[in-house]
Amino acid sequence: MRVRMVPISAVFSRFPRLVRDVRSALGKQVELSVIGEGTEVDKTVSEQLADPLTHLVRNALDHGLEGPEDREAAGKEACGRLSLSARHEGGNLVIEIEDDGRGIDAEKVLKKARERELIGPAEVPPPERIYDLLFLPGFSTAEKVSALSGRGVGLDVVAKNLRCLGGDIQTFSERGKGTRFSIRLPLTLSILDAQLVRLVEHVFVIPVLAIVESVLVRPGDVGRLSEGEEVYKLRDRYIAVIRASELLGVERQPELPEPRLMVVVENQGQQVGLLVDDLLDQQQIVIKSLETNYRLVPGLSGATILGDGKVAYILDVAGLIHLAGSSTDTRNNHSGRKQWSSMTP
Amino acid sequence: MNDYATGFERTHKPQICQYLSFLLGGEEYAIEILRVREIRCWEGAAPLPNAPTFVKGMINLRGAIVPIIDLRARFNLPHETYGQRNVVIVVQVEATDKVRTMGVVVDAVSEVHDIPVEGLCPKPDLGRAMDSDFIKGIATVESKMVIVLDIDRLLDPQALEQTTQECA
Repeated sequence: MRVRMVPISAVFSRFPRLVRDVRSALGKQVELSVIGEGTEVDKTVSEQLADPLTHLVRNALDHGLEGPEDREAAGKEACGRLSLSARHEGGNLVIEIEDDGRGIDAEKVLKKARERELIGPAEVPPPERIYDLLFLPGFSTAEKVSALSGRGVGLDVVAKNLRCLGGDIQTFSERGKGTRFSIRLPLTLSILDAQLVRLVEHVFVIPVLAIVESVLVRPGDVGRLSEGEEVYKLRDRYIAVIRASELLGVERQPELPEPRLMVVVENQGQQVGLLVDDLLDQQQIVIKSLETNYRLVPGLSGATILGDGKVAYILDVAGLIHLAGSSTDTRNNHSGRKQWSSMTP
Repeated sequence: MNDYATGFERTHKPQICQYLSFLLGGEEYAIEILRVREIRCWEGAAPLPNAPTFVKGMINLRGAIVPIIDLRARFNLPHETYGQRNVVIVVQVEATDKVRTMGVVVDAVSEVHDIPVEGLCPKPDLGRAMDSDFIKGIATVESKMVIVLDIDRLLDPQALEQTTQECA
């Protein structure tokens, strides 16, 4: 078995030293905090993460954080904050590098991109796309080249390295408040805390991290808004209900009782209820990719092999929500319904 | 397989490929034997949600997740329930991007044929809409017809995708 998971602290552990060195070299005061060091990551991924992360940390120290005088002038504490965090989210590994420095000047980025002819002179990208320009080859806004960064070989290499790992990077920044780089990597091979559930007679896996709670649904608790759109009153609010077996096209004999258990799952702040037939064990599983020998399957993030040697699929909560949304659309169009029931028995 | 032959043999022997033949719906089909990884009993597969009909599901092949393709569905033959008599041929499929391991369920494995390259007749072109590009040719072995399949085309995930869309 290729179980080669290492905690991300293997990568993160180098940064306190780096920050200390840079701090003395630049005369800045920086406090580094590291969150989620124990998050497990594939060894090969962790090895290839070191360079891009180092780059981003250096960038944050050099360009992001201001010197103590500038910070005090801006009404901030003299000591800058830099935080590194890692966590699993919906089948992905998310690493964030956040500083409370000066932020990225979107105007300057646009101006530079036009100068370098990376975008047309009249082109105005949407605000959330502006920072993506930073990752284009040959882009550097630093006016001065320093010992640390600003040599033009920069973020494009970071973005390329991350793409090689099948990940992507997003930038959030606010003038004067700080910058946050959010890296999202797929868990190609890793271990997941899993809740096994039963849909009709098949076992599926829901990542425990995605689960908020499980509730017993009484008949009549589920209200129907329209065909295929159902809601459940969870305490003081309504959440959408997804009939997992129907959505995944698992055949249900009509004489079977309606599923009574609902697993409330969360994805990026959105909560939905998945109706399942039974809650089984909680255990750790090894994620296996479906792409290795097949291709991506909507609604699934992978598969695993259970203790008895059987294959079980891992539900991708984000994908299921998306799938539920699009299947409602097709139902409303009175077409394409067959698509969701084409399932081999 | 002629890699091991000497230069003399290479120039003087006709090019012969070995094929593993199997039975499906009364016909004999053959695939290149070098692509065959192993032959197993049909022990069922975990059905894959929202999959095209010819994907029977996934099996656990010593820790690897391997998709099983139902050739009856792929060839639009009448559906039949598979039992213990059926076998799974695990093959290696080479696509442009990577090599995949996949399985096909068939009725029975028949034998190994030596078929010379010139013994392969092209399949008659009827201009049918259905893609039968996956047929490499037809060979006659001991006066029987054997349909030689091109496994890469037959199980190319992109081709499978297109077939799905046509079905939907």
